[in-house]
Amino acid sequence: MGEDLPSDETLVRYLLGQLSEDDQPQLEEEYFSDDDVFERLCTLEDELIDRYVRGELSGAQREGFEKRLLQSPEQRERIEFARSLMLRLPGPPATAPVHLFREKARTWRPTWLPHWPMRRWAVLMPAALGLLAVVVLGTWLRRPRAPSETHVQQPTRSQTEQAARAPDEALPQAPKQPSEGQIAALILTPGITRGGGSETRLVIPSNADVVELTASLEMVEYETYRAELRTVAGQEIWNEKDLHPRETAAGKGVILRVPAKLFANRDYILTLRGLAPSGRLQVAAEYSFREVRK
Amino acid sequence: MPTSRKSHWSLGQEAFDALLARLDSDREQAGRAYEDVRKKLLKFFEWRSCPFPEDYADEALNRVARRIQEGVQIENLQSYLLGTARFVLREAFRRPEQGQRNLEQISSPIGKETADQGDSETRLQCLEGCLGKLPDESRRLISSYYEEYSSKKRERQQLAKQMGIPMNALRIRVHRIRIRLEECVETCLEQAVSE
Repeated sequence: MGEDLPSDETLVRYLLGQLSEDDQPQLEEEYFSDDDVFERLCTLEDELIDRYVRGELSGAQREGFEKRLLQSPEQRERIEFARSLMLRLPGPPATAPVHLFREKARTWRPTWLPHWPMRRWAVLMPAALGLLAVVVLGTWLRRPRAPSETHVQQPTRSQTEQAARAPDEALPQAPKQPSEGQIAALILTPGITRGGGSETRLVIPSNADVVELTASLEMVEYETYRAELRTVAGQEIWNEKDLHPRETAAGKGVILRVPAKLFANRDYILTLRGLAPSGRLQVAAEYSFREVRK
Repeated sequence: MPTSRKSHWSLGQEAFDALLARLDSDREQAGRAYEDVRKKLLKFFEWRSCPFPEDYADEALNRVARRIQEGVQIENLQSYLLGTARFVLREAFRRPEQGQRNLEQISSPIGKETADQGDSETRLQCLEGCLGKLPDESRRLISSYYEEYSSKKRERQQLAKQMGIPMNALRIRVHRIRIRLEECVETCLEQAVSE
């Protein structure tokens, strides 16, 4: 009897809509008549939701998941619940490590769990990503970066390279050791908002030294991207190349870390350009936001 | 909301009682069986990508209740329910304009409201409170499952081994706790909205 039970793999394929038209009705008969099969399906659905939230699904799985399991408000509510759960009970690093809410996760740690280790990484954000961005503060463990990774036009390139070699010296506002600093984070969704629409605001606390921008992509069309940050007047204040899209809390996107001191209470436009096979850069997405110094 | 060709019919007490009686002779058991079968229907429509699974599940139940009231002989109620659900599903997909309306009524999967930071904070606070309300054993189990033993299958198998239960049993235990948590958080969020 046990041999006839559908495998986990079959059940997952059903949940992702990857089971054949012939096999699907048979499995449905099974779970309608067998409570155990039904309950297994429910538990595997939980696991798929968690893996989706953690960004652990492959492209095809993710596509199937979104088509099949993100259609109803109830399902999307479950995603939000899973995000909260992952945030509150974070496991090991997600595919796309995210720093947002870390401070809160620590604060909310209750007294009845004193002995459990608090993981550094948290899956976050109502990646309901949406239309509006969410600004929060978290702590950020500053890491040295390869010299080629960042190109800052102001201050000068040589200053930037120096920063890459010795980040603590280059960012004088940050404490020396331990190298924990404040980070202002913002999730951006494509589209320029001008005029009276709901603008995206980046609030930078006075003690923040880094701004982490998560630029979500509706579609990943290129292998690498170049990011350019300009004022609305067109002055480029920062850029970074060779950015690889990855899973973020807001879906596929790129994560940028910009020195906070480059911002000056203005409106900004972030442009992502994709590197086409021909070697030409093509505009892939634009994002607008207003920076407000706290 | 699905509209049947005989939409003038609505589920009355008599038809509902007939359905319950068909599910189980004991009224209390029948109530539980009704909830179970409704949940299966709900999931069936969810897993088949319906935007309003609750409406479709209720439509399927209403139709079956009506058939029972009309005296139709049903040998296997579960199969009959599933067959009816498939029929409702086919009807739903045959009405693209209806589906479109449904889709327009609901917000985008990445809806503005869910991205709201206040909402996320409230949700986390609710979750915190709901975790606190769980019995110690359940709280420890769900914390271990998600935090200490991460998402790695091998590690969770280790946890199941430590507990002396099969992996599936562990999953199901966690799933049940998770459902309680979800319901608690949902109630908490509703209360927060009404305050």
